[in-house]
Formats: sequence, structure tokens, C-alpha cells
Amino acid sequence: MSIAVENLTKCFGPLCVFRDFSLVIGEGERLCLMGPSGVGKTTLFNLLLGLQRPDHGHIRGLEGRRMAAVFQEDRLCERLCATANVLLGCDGRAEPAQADALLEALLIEEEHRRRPVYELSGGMRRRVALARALLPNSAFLALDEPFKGLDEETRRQAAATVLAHTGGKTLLLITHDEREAQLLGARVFRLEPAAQP
Amino acid sequence: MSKVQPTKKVLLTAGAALFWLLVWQALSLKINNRILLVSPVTVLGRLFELLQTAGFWRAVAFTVGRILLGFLSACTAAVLLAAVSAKSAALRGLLRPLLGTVQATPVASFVILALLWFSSRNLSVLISFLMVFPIVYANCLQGILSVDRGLLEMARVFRIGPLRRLLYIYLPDVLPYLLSALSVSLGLCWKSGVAAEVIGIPVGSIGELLYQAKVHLDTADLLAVTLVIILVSLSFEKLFLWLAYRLQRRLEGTVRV
Repeated sequence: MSIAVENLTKCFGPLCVFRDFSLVIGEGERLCLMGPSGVGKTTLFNLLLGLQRPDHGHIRGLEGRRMAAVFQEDRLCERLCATANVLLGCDGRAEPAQADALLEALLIEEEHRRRPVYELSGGMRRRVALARALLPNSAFLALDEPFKGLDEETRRQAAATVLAHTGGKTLLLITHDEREAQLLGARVFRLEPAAQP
Repeated sequence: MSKVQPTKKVLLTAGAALFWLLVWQALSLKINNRILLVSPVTVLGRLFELLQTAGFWRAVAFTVGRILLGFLSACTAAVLLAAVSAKSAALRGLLRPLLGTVQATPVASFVILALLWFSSRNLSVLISFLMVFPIVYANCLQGILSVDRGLLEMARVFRIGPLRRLLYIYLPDVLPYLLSALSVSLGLCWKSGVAAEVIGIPVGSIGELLYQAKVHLDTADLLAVTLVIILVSLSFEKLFLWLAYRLQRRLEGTVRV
């Protein structure tokens, strides 16, 4: 089932980020949302994940479906190790070996997987957040700058891992780098600032 | 500030304690009055005698049981109410003046009121409850309100269950607040609980022993019983904090989900 954003309006005080905005993401499609800072990419991300409510309009196709996300911040449980953080995304419905395999694919070695994540570098933490989003059997995956802080080679490897684990899943990517959209084979959608009243 | 090795710290503490015991002994010899100040040797001798009587142990059990009951029930009620209050600003507003008043009211006023309403047997349960509840509630509430909103949103998106939310998102943030509250309130509940017993004089309590010591001007008894109260209070404080730290350590590091 595709995801349909219909006539969406979302304002913060006098500033309207979306005004009568519509968008369709096809079933299993990979869509890359691009646009200047402040245009509403993260707001749309939050609206799709149900973390914010639209003032008007509807989002259809996500009701009751399992979702996963990489947020703008890593949002990890600092005192848990990398493996435990990844498993937490599945609420205990996965084996540690599955989490470890995913972390290994994202180039996180065993010695780092057993450490509390506050001891890891920014790039490693980002990949732990990515692994946490990839492991659950979700129908919709939203990734807000998932490759932030990764070097070119690690980014390619991370993108390959995303592709290997998202077959058939609907994917929303937010990035400022069009090459990341190409790496994931995603259709680019450019958000324009909403007209103000 | 220079760091002190653990063994050296123990030796320094023991040395300081010995110094003050010697000062006490010297003062008691100088004053030479069994009512004004008895020597530590006399107090220890009296304590040894008391430890051999069944009545003393019954009094200790009576008071310890009641103060602990008050403490544990206050902790449980405070944590539960803080969890509910964290969801409702109206409830927080409603409780603020009530708890502020409880904290500001002298123990003696509560004791006198409580004696009008209840029997003195369970006075220390009520008083230790009233002393502990506001502290644990306020700290626990602050801890819950300081939990990372981003992590809670993450938990919502990933549909993480309530138990894992509690263990891995709430507890790591709330435990330091709770530990601080436990540390403060444990000492307070003993002091206020025993003070209540001294005023209410329930039969067979430590408070009654202290009251009798006062009536008979028996300073040796007074200090021997006080020593027991200090030891029991410190033991429970160490035990509870040790348990809480162990729980905190379990939640840290390489915890598997």
C-alpha cells in the first residue's frame, strides 16, 4: 500500500511549513527528500512517523504499520552497548547474532560492539542508529541524514547494507547530498518553501 | 584537592574516630558526673548489657519494623505518584502546596496531630512515611521529567514495550535522582521516627527506652540506645544504597537486551 500525504497543512505559530501539501510514496518506493534547511524536511519526517500531528489534511497508508527510523540525532541509549541498542529497536524480538551481523556489515568490529555507545565515535554511533533501524521487520523506513559523519568508503558500505536490508520496504531518505540518493537509487523530491499567508 | 587512597582513607577515618573517643573519655573523666557525661567505656558496657536482654531486641525490632514499613511504603507511593504526576501538570500543581506544607511542618506537630487520630503504636510508620514521601516524590518526578524526549520518541516509533522503556530509558535517568533521595531520606526517617516515638511513647519501642532514660536521667542508657539507632540507620542506608547502585551498574555498560 502506498503512502499518501493529502492536503497537509502544518504551521508553527505564524509560520506555515506546509500549506495544502500533497505527496505519494509508492509501495516499496525509495524517495529522497531534498531542500534547503528549514523547508520542512524533518517536520514531514516527524509527521509521517506520527510524532507530530498535521493541522489539516491526512496521511494515509501508515496506519498500524511497523516503522523504523534514523533520526537527525542518534537517539541511542548511552549506557547500553551497540548490540543491545540495535536489539532494542526490535523490542527483544531478534537474536544478538542478527544484530552483530548487521553491525559487522556496517564495519563495526566486535570490540566496539560490546562497549557502551557513549565510548564510540560519532561515525560509529551513526551506524549503530542505522543498524537499529534496519533490523526490525518494518514496512516503512525513514532515514534523516543517515550517513552523517561517515567517510566516503564507509558511506558506500553503509548504503550497500541499507539496500541489502530494505528490499520491498518503503523508504524515505532526507539528505542534502544528492549522491546519497543515487547510492540508494532513490527518486528525488525537492521541497519548496510553503507560501505564507 | 589531593586524592586519598582507599586504605589510607579508612585509616584516617578510624584515627579521627579514635581521637574523638579519647576526647570524650578525657572529658568524662574531667567532668566526673554520670548524669552530665558518661565515658564511652561505660556506654559500651551498658550496650553490652542491653544486648543480652530480650526486651531490648524486641524494642529494636518494633521500631526498625515500623520505620522500615513507613520508609518502603513512602518510597513505593512516591514513585507511583511521581510517575502519574509526570503525565499531568494539573496533578503536579495540585500536589505542590500539599507536599510543601508537609515538608515545612515540624515533626512534633504531626506527632501531636497523629496521636489525636491514631494509636501511638504505629506512629513511627506514619511519621517516617510523611518525612520520606515528599523527598522521594520530588526527586523522582524531577528525574522522570528530565528523561530524554528524543529517546521516548524513538521508543514510540520502534514500539518498544513498557518494560524495556522502563529499564533502558527511564531508569538510567531516574536512578541518580532516586539514589540522592534515598540517601537523604533514610537518615531523616530514622531521626524523625524515633523522635515521634519519644513523644508518643509506644510501649516496647526504642523511643520508650529513650524516654525512660530521660526520666531516670540515665545517660549511659540514652547513649547506648542512640548508638544502636545510629548503627541500624547507617546499616540500612548502606544496604539500600548498595542495592540501588547494583541495580544501576546492571543497567550500565554492556547490558544485553
